[in-house]
Amino acid sequence: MVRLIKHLACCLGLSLTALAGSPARGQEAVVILSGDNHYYHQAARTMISRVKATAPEFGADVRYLSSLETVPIQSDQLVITIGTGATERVLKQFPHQQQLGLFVTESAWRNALERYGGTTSRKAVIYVNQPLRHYVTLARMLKPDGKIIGSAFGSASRQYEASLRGIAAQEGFSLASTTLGETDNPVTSLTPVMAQADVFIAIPDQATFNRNIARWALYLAYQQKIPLIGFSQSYTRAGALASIYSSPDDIGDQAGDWLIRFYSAEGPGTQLWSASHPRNFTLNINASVAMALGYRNLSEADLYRTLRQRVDSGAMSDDAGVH
Amino acid sequence: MTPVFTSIRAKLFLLSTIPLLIATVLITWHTVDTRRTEIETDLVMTAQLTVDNIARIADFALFSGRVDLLRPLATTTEKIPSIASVVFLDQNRDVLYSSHTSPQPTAENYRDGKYDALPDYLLVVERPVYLSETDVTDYEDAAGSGYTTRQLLGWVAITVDKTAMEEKSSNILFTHLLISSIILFGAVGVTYLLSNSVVHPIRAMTSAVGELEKGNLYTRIAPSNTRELAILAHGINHLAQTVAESRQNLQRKVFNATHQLQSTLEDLRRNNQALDNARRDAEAANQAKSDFLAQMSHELRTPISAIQGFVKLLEESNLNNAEKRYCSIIQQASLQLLQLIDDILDITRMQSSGITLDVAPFNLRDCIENPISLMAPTAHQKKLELILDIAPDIPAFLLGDSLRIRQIVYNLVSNAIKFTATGQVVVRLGAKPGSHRGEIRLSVHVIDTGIGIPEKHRSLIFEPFSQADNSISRRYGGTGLGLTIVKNLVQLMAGTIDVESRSGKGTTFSVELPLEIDTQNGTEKPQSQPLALLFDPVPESRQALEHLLVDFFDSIESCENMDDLEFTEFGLKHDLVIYSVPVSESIASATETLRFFVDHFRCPILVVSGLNSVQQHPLISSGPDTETVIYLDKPVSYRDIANLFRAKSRLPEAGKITANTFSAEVLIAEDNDFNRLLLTTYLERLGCQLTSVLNGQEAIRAADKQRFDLIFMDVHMPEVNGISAVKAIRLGHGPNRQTPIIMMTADILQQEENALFDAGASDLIFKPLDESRLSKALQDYVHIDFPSAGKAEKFADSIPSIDRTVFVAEVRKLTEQAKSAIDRRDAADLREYIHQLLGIAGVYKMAYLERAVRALHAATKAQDEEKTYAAMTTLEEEVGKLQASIDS
Repeated sequence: MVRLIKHLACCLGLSLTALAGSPARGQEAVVILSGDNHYYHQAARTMISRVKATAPEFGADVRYLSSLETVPIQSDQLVITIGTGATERVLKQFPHQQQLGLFVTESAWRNALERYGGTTSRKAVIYVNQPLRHYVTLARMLKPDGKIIGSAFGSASRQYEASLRGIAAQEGFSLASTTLGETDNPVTSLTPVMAQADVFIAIPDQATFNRNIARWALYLAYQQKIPLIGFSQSYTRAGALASIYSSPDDIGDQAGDWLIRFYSAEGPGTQLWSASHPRNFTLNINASVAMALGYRNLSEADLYRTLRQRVDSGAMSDDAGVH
Repeated sequence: MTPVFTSIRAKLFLLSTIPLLIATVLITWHTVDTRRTEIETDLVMTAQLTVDNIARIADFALFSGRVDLLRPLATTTEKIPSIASVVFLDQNRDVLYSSHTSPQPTAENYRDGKYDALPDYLLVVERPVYLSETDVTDYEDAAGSGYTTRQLLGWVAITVDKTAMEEKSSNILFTHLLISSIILFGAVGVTYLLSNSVVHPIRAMTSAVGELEKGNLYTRIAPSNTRELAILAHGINHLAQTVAESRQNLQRKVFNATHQLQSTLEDLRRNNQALDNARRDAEAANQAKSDFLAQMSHELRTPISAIQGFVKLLEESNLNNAEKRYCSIIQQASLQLLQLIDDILDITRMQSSGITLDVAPFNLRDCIENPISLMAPTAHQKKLELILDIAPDIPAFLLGDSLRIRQIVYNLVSNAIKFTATGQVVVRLGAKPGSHRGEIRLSVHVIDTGIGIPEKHRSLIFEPFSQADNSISRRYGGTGLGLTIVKNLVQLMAGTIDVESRSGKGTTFSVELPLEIDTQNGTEKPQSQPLALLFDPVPESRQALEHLLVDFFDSIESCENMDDLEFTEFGLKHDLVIYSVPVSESIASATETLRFFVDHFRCPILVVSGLNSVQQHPLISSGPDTETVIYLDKPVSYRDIANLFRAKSRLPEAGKITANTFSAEVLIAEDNDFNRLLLTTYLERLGCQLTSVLNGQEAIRAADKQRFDLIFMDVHMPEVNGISAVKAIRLGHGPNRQTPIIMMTADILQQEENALFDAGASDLIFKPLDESRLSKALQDYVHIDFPSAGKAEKFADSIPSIDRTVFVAEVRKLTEQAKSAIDRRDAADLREYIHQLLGIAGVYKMAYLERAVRALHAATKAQDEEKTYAAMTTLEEEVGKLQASIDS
């Protein structure tokens, strides 16, 4: 019951906020949240605030996926889907609708496209996962003299093994990796990878895979005294030395920028309808792990700034990413 | 049930040690149990925590199958006390690693997961080991759907050995027991010390109280240093002192009381002596009163007898009518005076409860008919019909005091005659069932047509010396004692008496008496004749005769008047004609009626009339057919009719039966010569056949040899007295068991009177013998009618025929014998001689002689020697005078 009240209040609040500015008819968007998660709301609020800062007339009708059937959606209206569930549902139900997907991993988006066969002409998506280069760059920063990057892939992330190997090679690393099936013993598979790697990069896969492998990866990394770079704040708290991830504000800001461009005077160009990694990211480190691994005076802000600079510089020269 | 005594010390011990023991046991048990529970709980919790921890950290080793990683876990865990072993099982519960080598638990136990069969000192705690996961996803939905399942990696089991815990519990128990024992013994010791301070003074008090109980009231208790006991000791000492003082006071009071008691007892003894003397005086006075009454009775009777005798002599002389009437008045007055004396004596005896009922079988008809017959002349003189109507269904023999019943009837009937001027007096007897089998309630109704009793006076008629009206005594005479005597006698017999009266119309007295039926005796009914003719104009009389004749005739033809005779068949049909002549009917009328019967009937004719008025009429006496006429006086008795029937076969020859014909065999037993001579002479002149004997023994022998019609027997006789002789005759097998025996005595004690009637005597007459007593006895027992006969020998006529010298000689002889007995101080002989003197002294109506004898009698009874001698002297003087008169 509390959850329901909170849900309704949230919807009402977002709706009023979105309609307060009385935007022009063409600047009204429908926002579909996959669920009642705080980070979805946070991302939506950041996004709307960002747009309203420049276009106060912007309006957004924020709804949950569960009430999708009752949402009046115009054919030319932009639908912003937050979360994999909402994105896949709208992709399936409204394949020709203008759609911006948020909080979707690259692999999930690709799977959805394959599953529902939709066109990408009027679809745009901002992945939640960071580009592999960010991780490899950070690995180099943490292991300047490192030679081998270890990693493990599951069924969903297996497609990135080649990319990672290539990016690692660009940074002077070789890749020692393993691919685990559902029945494989992670310890048995990870132990030899950990034994030769200098740094271990956790590649996001499906949630089950991520949970199964994380404990053993962290345990073995700790046992082998090698830094592990995770892809979420939770990973850092679980024992990873550092993690790079997209925060809701990072995604909301970038989505807001996208909408401003979408509703700009020149109208939406074809460049907007594409999938892209998030431009912004957040980095945090586990100070205890850092201490255990012998990293003295490792500053999270310095590390972010350095990484930011190296990413930005690298992006200008090479916009390589995981696609 | 014997109470169980326990000492204070024991009670103190029990009071102190038992609660302490209970508390100690409870505390020890509770503590040990709690500690044991805590230890066991700690042990189990330690095991659980340990196994939980191991389960959490052993997942990697189990997941990776690294036994080398499991071994250190087990080794470290086994260092915890009481943990005996650590065993790791795989997913199939097969043992991966076990840290122990003991046989239990076995691999099968682990595989089954069942440890119930293990010894109690072993406890196995096991936990599953799951694969733990680490959530590294910030955004659940971002990476697509996924689900989580817990993966079982294996089991870890810890075996706990509770032996150490048991040892620890035992140690705790032992420690507590030791502490409890020390506390207990300490408490006992303290109690003993405390009890000494209480018990010793109490024992001292107990001993002192024991001494006090023994009477040592000056024993005292030493003061105790315990405050309460000191108070108690002080109290006991005070009590002992108080008791001692009380005892002294009590002893003093007892002494005083004893002294007073002795004085009181002395006073009581003196008072008792005085009372005893007073009682003796009272008894003597009572005796004197009785003697006085008896003497006065005798003194009164003697002159009255003289008056009656001389009046009779005077009547036989040539007197004119007025003089004859005067004589009749004198005679009647003397009779009334005699009756008054008898009544007074009876009342006196009743008031002193001197009358006891003599219950014996008696013939009811005889009992009632005799007094009625006696009173019939009086009634007939007043032209009153005196009718006796006895219901035929009344039992003939009853058990009761016939003398007193006769007295009741006599008084009621005489009363009715007295107060009835014209008309009739009916005596009607009936019977109702009694309260039980064998008893009847005899009802006697005496119905007169007299003056009646006013309502307001009815309550007074039963009071002594009371009559309905003072004028009654003036008009009718009498003392008013008759009904009082009747009521007393009825009450004595547990009967009731009632009276109904209408002033001027008449009175009915109704008496009911409960009487037992005598089933031993019975009357033999005569052989009945077919038919009798009864002519009686008076209905009540006719009914009475019908009831009387019902036993004698099969059929009775009753006629009230001459008209009724018209329907009668004259001739030889009737067996007897009974003509009942009304008392008020004239001689002429009766004679004419009788003549009618003589002329018309061939059967005997029975004429029943009052005072033989018809019989004495010259016409009848000289009639041609008087041979077939029989005359009887009213009222006719059953015995008269029975005798008539017995002689019926001789009727034509006998012609006439008179009741005055008397011939009876009589036995006289009398030791006194003079009395025997007097009685013999009198009875011989009556025509009796006499047998005389001198004592009881001879009387018994005579009675055994011959049947007598009547026996006269003196009470006091030598060898065998009269009472013993009567008893022997009654209980013997001789022919006189039923013969009437009349006892004679000059004086008799109440016990003797009871004894002689108990022995079987029929009646008692008192000496000196006189005509009335003898004639009454003869009337009662041999049915001779003296007053009406007129031809019988008078008793007084017998006396002149006896030589007075014989009398004087007898008196002198007895006086001398009495004098000799006094000199010899032989009381028995003296009493006997005085008795004989009493028996003959009054025969010749010699008042001085009789008074002297009675004075001597009284003096000897009082055992007053001085008076005895004085009375003896007086008697001798009287005898001397008597002798002198003879000599002159």
